[in-house]
Amino acid sequence: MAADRTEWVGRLADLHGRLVYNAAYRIVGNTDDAEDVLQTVFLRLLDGTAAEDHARDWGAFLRVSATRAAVDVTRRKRNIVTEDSITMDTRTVPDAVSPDEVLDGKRLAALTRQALEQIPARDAEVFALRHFEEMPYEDIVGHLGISTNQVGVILHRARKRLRQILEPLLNPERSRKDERNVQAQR
Amino acid sequence: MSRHNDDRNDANEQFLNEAIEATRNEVPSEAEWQLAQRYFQEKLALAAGPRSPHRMSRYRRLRAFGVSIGAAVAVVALMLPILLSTTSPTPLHAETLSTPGELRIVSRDGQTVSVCPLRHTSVEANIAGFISRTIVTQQFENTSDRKIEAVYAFPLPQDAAVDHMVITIGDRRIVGNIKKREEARQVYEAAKAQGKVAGLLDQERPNVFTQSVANIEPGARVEVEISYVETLKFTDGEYEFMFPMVVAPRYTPPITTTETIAITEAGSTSTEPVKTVKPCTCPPSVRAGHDISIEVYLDAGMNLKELTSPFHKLNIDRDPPNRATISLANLKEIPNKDFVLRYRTASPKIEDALLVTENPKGRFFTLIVQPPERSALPGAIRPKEMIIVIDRSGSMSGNPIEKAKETMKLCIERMGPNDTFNLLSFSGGTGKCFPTPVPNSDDHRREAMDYLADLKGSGGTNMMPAIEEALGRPADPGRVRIVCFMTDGEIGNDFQIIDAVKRNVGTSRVFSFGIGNSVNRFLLDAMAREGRGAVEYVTLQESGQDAAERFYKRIGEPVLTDITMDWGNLEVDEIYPRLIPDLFSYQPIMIHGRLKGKPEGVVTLRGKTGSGDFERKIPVSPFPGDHPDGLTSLWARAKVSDIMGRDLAGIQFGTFKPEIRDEITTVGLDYRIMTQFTSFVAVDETRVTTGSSETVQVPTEMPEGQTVGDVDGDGDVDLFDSSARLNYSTTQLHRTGKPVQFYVSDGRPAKNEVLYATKSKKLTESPAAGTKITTYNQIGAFNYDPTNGTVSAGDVWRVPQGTPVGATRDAKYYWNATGLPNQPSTTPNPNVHLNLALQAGQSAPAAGTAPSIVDLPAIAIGDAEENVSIDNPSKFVNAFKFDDYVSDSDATITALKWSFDSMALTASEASTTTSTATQNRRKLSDRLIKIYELALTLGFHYSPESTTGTLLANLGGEVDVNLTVIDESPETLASLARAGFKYDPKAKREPNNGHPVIAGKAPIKELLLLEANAALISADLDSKWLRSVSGRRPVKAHR
Repeated sequence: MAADRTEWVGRLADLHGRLVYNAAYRIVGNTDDAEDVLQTVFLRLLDGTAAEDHARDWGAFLRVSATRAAVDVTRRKRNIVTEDSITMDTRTVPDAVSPDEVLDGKRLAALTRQALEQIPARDAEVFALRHFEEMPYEDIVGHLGISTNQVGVILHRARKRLRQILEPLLNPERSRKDERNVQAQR
Repeated sequence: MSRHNDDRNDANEQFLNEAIEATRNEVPSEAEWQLAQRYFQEKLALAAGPRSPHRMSRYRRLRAFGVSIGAAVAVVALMLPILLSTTSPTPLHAETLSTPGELRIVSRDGQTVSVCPLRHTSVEANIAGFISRTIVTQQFENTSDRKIEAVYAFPLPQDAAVDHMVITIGDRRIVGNIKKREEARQVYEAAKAQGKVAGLLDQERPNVFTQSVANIEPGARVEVEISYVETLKFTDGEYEFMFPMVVAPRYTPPITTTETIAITEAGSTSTEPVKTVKPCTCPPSVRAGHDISIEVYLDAGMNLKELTSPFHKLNIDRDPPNRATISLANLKEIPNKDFVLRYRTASPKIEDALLVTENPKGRFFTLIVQPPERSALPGAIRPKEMIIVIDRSGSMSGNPIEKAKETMKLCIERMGPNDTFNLLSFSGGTGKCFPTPVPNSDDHRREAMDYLADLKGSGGTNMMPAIEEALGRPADPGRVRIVCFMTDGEIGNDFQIIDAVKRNVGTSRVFSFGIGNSVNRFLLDAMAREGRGAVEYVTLQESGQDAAERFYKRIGEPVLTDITMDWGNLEVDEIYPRLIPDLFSYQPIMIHGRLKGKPEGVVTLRGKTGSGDFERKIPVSPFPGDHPDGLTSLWARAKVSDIMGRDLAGIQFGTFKPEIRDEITTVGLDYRIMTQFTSFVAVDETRVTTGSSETVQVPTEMPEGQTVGDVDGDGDVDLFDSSARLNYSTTQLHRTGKPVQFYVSDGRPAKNEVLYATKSKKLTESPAAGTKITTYNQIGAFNYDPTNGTVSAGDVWRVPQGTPVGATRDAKYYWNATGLPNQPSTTPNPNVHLNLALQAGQSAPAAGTAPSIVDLPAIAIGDAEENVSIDNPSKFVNAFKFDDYVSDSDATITALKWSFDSMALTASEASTTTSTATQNRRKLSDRLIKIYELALTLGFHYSPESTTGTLLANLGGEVDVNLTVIDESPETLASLARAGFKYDPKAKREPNNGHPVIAGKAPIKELLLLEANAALISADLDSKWLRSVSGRRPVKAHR
């Protein structure tokens, strides 16, 4: 079995590896962990521990696996994000974009990741699949084994929570004022 | 109120959408993906089943082995406990960057401690016919919050006549002045001390330069513009423009002369040494943080075709028929391989041309003459004695040596029936296939192929004995001797080599083959020139077949030899080159000179072709059209080369005759060009900055295809070669008390796979014998006999105070260890070489006084492999190489430096009269263990087959370890069992990750094995340890 299965996994990785890697990277935010996720996802296929019954669409299945594994990684690590830890790789910067803009984007992405860590894992997973991977509802439903309605509820809840978490970053001055108002009312 | 809330919700919603978009758009680069893919494929292959290890390269083998222990993700973590502490608050951490981006030093909390001050290099070249004018702009920017001085070693083409330097700060442009090297240095140092922004450009080698920029304030940008002119190469119809991008680390072998050489800084009257060429190379997969863009404006003068570059993707914007603008497709190219642009024109012929320029200094010309067509009489080829010399040093390991072997094989196969041949190889020593050259028979060829197959790249690059062996034997009168050198030329004693070729060449012809993507062209060109042969460059991507073909065509049918030029009625003066080299390819004859009279007349070219004597009369008149500037500089540069050629050995050792130095200096000053004795300096007098400044070395990339850490290929990480990196890091470490990022040598930043922190060791075994180290002013090498575990004798040197950075010395300063103190041995030991790199600026001690070791500001220890005789394992001499790694501006002692220093005996140890041999042996052992621990701490590893690894393993001893088993696969457990660890699944587990921890003692030998298996090592520097180490007072402050 081994040779055939290895070849098959290798082919799958050729086809979908980049998507898996990207999906993982969007959540973990660094190449090292993304590499680990990539390896985990495919090596699980190799040793048959992956739940591959649902996998009619390998691309979607693998992205779901990657997202799940990546969310797991972030839960385990709970990275603290500060502005200085956001490294900028200028090689990937298109010329039309100024480095500041990219850094802003990087920063925003890092903060989004940090926010995602604060919501339940399942919610983060669904949110990432819908919004980062732009996966249709039916695929999420199929791969996660939940109902369409549940997907909707989870997404609504996740968005609401993320808005709250991100708000102070949008306007730190106002949120401090609001906090004072709330305290004053109490 | 409600509307306010709605607005706010809208704003939040929009912000969330932006956040989503930003995250969605964040994907790793293609390069990162390729790396990830490679690692994945390796894992997949390993998971699928074992591979035959001998088919993998050493690097791959190590990696694969490491990974096979921990099949899934991680391997084994060695957590060696902290001896000097019991608790560990706020540990420092070697944090890895998430992308292999800039060389940044980051702390565990992600704070960037420092970054590379060189942002970008842009290169703009204007090519007109045979001459190119190139402007190199280096953009320095200080993104740190401290004022800095940036120092950057970088290459330029070896024949470049550098004649301009301008620094730009904001809108102020300051044109550099050419001055004597030491005067320029004084002006620069004075400006630096006064807080003025200043730039200094020094030439270290004809193709290696150093740019220093002082007082770059936080946030400030300084641009340095360097301009040079050169002639293009043209070979068999193809033009070549080359811009070197990287200075590879060079190997400088021991000085073998018995006399101590008074090493003097080029042009200076002081006794400073010639600096060793030691660029600051960054670890693999880490970018030095700066990139490069190149734009070439080409006017070929005739229809242009076939523009190619072997290493880089190009954007070509054609302006038919003659012109094109060429740029790197990637505007932020990583400078780790030379830029080479090749092109052809509609005519494969060269037009004769006389280019003239006139200025107050006189009338200068460059004459380009076309050679005759290649012609040969059938059967006229003389039998050859082919001596092929292959470089099997560490820098050649991997692809380069395979390419050399391929080319060499083809050369052997193509030999004629009457030829004889031999194969030599060299690294630290010289090897031979046959004792003397043998006839070209099937058996001999087979033997040669076997010899070739066994060659591996490792060890130092000691080329001198190979040259003497190849050229020194009496010539075979019936054959013409052809000596082929196949090397990357990454060697520090280039002048000495060229001189040896010149002295030994006799009637032989030397053909040099430059193997690799960033070779030392200066050396290879000069070897071929002095050896009256030709040079051939074989890139790793190109076929060896083509190179071998060209080689045979050249030696079989030289284009023109014994060339003379009759100038007729043209009044010329100071013609360079004085002797025109033989032409083995269809190349122009290019002559630079001064004209006294009118630029018109008839010159006659004479020489010999394969079919007989050749003569051609060439009427010359100035070439129509614009004449390029820079002819004067080209002439001056040619003159300097000519003067230098008179005393190459002197230039290598800094013992050149004063008249030569004066002559070169005069040319440099009169014609405003860079030489080894003249430098450009520019000072911004308008502003004075305040505050103290720190020196930052700009790291350079490792040449593509090479790995760092093990430059000499013996399996050890060479701290010597990575010292610059240590310099960078340790300074920061000290200053900020922040953790530092280190990299390991397998090409990938280490992550949380294997972490060490160790300060605990206990020796159960010490070597026994009579070493006695009774004073503390000695450092040196010890004869160690592993068969009985004894240190039989030690060679110890005294290091004179004031020995400057980069000084190399022979073993004149060594003391016999048993006869200490102060018993200089009368027999110099040629095997022993001490590479000192001490802090500059100390004054020399009074004659006869014994300086103390605390005058060594900082020493790092690697090992001096060239001193070790692997062939005689029962007894070898091991020396430690001491190297500077703390910046001069850092007055206090860094934590790491201190730990290195503590390897020296303390004052009380040294002065104690009760010191016994046993105590001293223990100290020696302790020091060895410290070396090992430091290596671990720095994330380097000694493989058991390496020099220091062997020494340590033979030394024995145990180290207390806490082993964290990240992966509990059967392979790992088997490996642990072999190393004597008892694995208990129910044992204590780490609270944060659940991995079992095994505490115990481990023999160093087994740890080395584990270490070699665990290919990824990183250092977890614990603050507690650092504090306890740095908290101890040094013996004596070094200032």
